[in-house]
Amino acid sequence: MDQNSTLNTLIQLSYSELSDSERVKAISEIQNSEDLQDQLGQILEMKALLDQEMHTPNPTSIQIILEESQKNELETY
Amino acid sequence: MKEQISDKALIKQYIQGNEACLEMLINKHKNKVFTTIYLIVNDRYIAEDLFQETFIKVIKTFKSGKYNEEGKFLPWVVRIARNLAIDHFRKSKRMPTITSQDGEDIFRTFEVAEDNREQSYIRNQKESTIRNIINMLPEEQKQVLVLRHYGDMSFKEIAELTNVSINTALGRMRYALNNMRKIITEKSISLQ
Repeated sequence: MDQNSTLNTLIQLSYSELSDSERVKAISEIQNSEDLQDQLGQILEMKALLDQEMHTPNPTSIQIILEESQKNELETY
Repeated sequence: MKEQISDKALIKQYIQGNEACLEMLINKHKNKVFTTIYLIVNDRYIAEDLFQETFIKVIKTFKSGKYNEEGKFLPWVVRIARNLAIDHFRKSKRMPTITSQDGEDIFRTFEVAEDNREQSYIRNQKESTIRNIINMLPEEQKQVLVLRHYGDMSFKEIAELTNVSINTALGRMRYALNNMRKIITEKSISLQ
């Protein structure tokens, strides 16, 4: 497996996008390679950083949507 | 333990007239949808407008009976949001740029009460730093990263949406993660 393909597999593994058989194969390879363990660690580290960037909409926005839904309800029925 | 109701069940009940299910559905996904939009448009006010427009479109689709329940809900909503963001930029004839004064402080005041000011300041600084790093990425890499990480779209779905192969989408994500690491190292950014 070339380097790019390996990294693609690790990224897909980190996002739970591998099939069962691919996942088992990838985990087995990772367990036997310190290099792959480091690379997976780096991917997970970046993902953890991205998780810190999360924003919440203003409650008014949600209120507007809910009111629109009720308005729509009246128009529909 | 609190059991989470599936999107499918919430949508079904909402279509049958249970308005509370819409609120539950929005609350379940609001942060991911909003963060995706915010990272695309880089303006909190525009993001709020597009967030509202997105869910109003979702409501109309539900009520018209056109919703295809085979697909996953969140990636479908994110696709709508992305299309609305593209329309927005087309109408305003500009592409997203990095902005520093986007009204964030005003909205942040809602969150300050939740913890003390110092903690809030540190958290905001950290979020802002990560957002700036994401915004330094080439647009194609940023797009894949945002749609995959915040929009919950699979690489296959992103590939279809952006008309590239799955390997290209994965390659862009690979470069995005590598470039993020490089930016952090080169600029000696501390995210501890």
